Amino acid sequence: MLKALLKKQFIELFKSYFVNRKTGKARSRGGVIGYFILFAVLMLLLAISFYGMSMMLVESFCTMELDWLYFALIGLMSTLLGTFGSVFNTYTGIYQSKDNEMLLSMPIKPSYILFSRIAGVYVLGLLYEALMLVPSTLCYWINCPAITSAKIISPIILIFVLAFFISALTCLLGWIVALISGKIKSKNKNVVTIITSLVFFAFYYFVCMRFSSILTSIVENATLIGEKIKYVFPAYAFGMASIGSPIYLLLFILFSAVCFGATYFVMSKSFIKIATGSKSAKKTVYTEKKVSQQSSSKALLMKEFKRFTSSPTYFMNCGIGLFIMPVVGIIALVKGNLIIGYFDIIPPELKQLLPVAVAVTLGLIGNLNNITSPSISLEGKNLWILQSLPVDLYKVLQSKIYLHTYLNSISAIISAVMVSIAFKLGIVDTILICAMLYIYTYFGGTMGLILNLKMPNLTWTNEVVPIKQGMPVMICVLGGWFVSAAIGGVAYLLKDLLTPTSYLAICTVFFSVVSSILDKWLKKKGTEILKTL
Amino acid sequence: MLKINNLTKNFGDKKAVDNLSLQINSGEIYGFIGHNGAGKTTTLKSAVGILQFDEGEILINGKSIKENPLECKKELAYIPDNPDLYDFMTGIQYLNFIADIFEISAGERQERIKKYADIFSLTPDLAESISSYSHGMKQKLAIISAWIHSPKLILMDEPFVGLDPKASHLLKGMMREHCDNGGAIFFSTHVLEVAEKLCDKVAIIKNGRLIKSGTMEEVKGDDSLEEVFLELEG
Repeated sequence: MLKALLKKQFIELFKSYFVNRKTGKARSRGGVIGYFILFAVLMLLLAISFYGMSMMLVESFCTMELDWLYFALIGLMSTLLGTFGSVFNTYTGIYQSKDNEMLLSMPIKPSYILFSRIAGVYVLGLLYEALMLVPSTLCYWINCPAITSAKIISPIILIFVLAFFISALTCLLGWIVALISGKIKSKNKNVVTIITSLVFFAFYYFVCMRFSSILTSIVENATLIGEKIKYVFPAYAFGMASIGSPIYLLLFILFSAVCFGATYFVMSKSFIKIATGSKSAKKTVYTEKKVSQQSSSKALLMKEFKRFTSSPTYFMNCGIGLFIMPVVGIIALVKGNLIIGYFDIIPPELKQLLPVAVAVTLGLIGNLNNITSPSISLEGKNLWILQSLPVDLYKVLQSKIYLHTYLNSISAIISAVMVSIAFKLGIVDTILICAMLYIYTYFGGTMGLILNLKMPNLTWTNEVVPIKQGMPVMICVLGGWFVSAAIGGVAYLLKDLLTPTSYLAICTVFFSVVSSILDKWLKKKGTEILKTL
Repeated sequence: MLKINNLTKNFGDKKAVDNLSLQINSGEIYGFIGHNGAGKTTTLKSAVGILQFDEGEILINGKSIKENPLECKKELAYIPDNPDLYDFMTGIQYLNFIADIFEISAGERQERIKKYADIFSLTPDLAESISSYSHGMKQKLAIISAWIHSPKLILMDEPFVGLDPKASHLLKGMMREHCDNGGAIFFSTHVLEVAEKLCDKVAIIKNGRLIKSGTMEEVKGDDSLEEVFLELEG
C-alpha cells in the first residue's frame, strides 16, 4: 500500500516532465527528452554559478585551515535553499492536495498518506540542496589539498542526511503556514500572499545586490564567524562531519533523525485535522453598510481593479514594475549626486540625451507591467456575465485599458518626477517625460488588449497559463522592450537634428496618434471580437 | 415578451438549433425541455445575446436583440446552467456590481438585496469571497443578481441544479410571483415533475428542432409530461 502511495506521489512530482499541463496530454518521447535536457541545462547553469561562489570562499578557508567552517556555511546556505525552495510546495502538497479527502476515505492509515507526502518533500528538498552542496563539495575536492577518503565519503553521506533535516524544517514551516493560513480570513489571504512575496523579492534583490560584499565580509571575518558558529551545534557538526570526523558524522545523522522523527510525530497527530479543516477559518459575517450608486464605467473599472489585486499571480507577474519604478526614483534621489558623478565619463553628445534616457528607462521598466494582455483570457468562464449585461462592450475594453494606464502612469510619473529632481532636469523636459510615459503606457495597454483579443485563451484551468505562458504577454514584454529600445536608438540617430525636448514632444504626439488609431480599431473590431468569443 | 422567429444556429456543420419559433407572453412560466445537446442552452444564450445566431429573429418586447442589444438586455436577466461568477469578489460586491450596471439606486438595491438574501438565508455569507461559496450558494447568488434589477423577462438554464429542497421551493414561489406580477420566465429543465407542476406552457426540443409546444394541457393531454417526453424523444 505504501509502495502504491509513494509511486503516486512521485508520478505527481514529476508529472510535468511527462504530461503537458496546458493540454493535459502526454508529451512525445522527443518532448520528454527535450524537457529533461532543458531541466538539466538549467540545473547545470545554477550549479556552475554555485561553483563560482564556492571558489570565492574555498581557497581562503583552506588556507586558514577552517575547512569545517566552509562546509558549515555551505550547509547553512544549502539548508536555506532547500527549505525555502520547497516550503510552499510542502504546504500545498501536504495540506492542500486535492486527493487528501479521497485518500482519507479509503482504508489507508493516515500516517502512510503523510509518509508518502513527506517522501515527496524529501526528494524536492534533496534536489534543491544538492544543487548547491554538490558543486561546493566538488569545488572543495578540486581546490583543497590533503583530500582523504573520509573527506570524500562523509560529504556524500551528508548530502542525503542533510535532506532529512531540511525535510523536517520544511514540514515544520509548512505546518506553521497551514496553521496561519487556517486562521486568516479567506478574503485576506491574497493580501498576505502579495505582501509576503514583495518582502521576499525585496530581500532577494537586496541579497543579490550585496552578494559580493557579503562574501568578502565572510572571508575577512572568517575566524570570528568560526568562533560564533562553534556554538551552533548543527552547523558545527555538519562542518566537522564534512571534513571526515566520524563522531560528528554520527552525531549529525542522529540529530537529523531526531528532528525528522519528531516532526513526523507532531504532524501525524494533527494531519487529519489540518488537511480536512482548511475551510474552518473564521467567517466574516455580513453587516449591512451604506452603499452609493456608481456609474457602469466606474463599476467596470473597480471590477478590473479587484481582479488585478485579488490574484497574487496576476499582481506579481503583471504589476511588479509598479513597485520597481518608484524604487528607481527613490534610489535616484538618494544616490543622485553619485550617479551624476558618473555622467562625466559619458560623451557630451550622449549626455544631452538624458531626458530621453530617463523616459526610455522608465518605459522599459513599465513594460514589466502587462495588466491588459492577459485580461480577456482571464475572463474565462465568467465572460458570459459581461456578454449578457446591458453594457457597451467598448466600455468593458476601456475599463481594462484605464486600469493599466492609471496604475502604470501614476507609478511612472512619480518616479519620473523624482528622477528629474535628482538629475536636475528642466521643468519642460520633466513635463514631457511624464506626458510621454502616460501616452506610452496607454499605447502599451491598448496593444496588450488587442493582442489578447486576437489570441484569447478562455479555457484555462489554472490562471497561471494565460498570465505566465500566454503569447500576448510574451509579445507585449519583448515587443515593449524593443519599442523602448527603438525610441532610444532613434533619439541617438537624430541627436544632431532634434533637441531631446523636441524629440520627446514628437514621440508623445506620435504615440497619441497611434493610440488613437488603435482605439478606433478597438471600438469597431475589438467589441465585435469580444461579442463573439 | 419574448418572440423567437425561425432561429437557426450552426456550429460548423452541426445545426444546433434549426428554424425554431416560440413566443413567451407576460405572465407565463415557459418550460423548455429536451435531451442533452438538444439545443436548449444555445436557444437561451441566443435570446440573451451571448451567442450570435445565423438566421431568424429574436425580439424582446418588440425590440431585436441583434439590433438593440443593450435595450433588450436592460429588460432581461439570465442565469446560466453553471453559475461561474466572479470568484475574486465577495457576494455583496458582486450584487453591487450588477446593480451598478443596471443603474439601480442605492436605496432600492439595499432593499432588494436584503429581501432576497434573507429569503435564501444568504445574508450572513454576503461578505465572504464567492470563491468560498458552494455550488448551491453561487446559484442562490446568481438568482438574487437576476432578481435585483426587477427584469421583465428572466431566462434560466437548469435553475434548480445544486439548490437544496427549501431553496428550490422558494425559487418556484419567486418564479410564480414574478409572472403573476406581469413578468415572464423561460427556463430549461430536466426535472419533468417540476416543469409539469410549475409551467404554464412547455416546449420540447429534439436535435435542434421544436417538436411540440403549447399549454401544459395541450402538450401532455391526459398523460404525464414524462410519458409524452419519452414518447416524443423516442
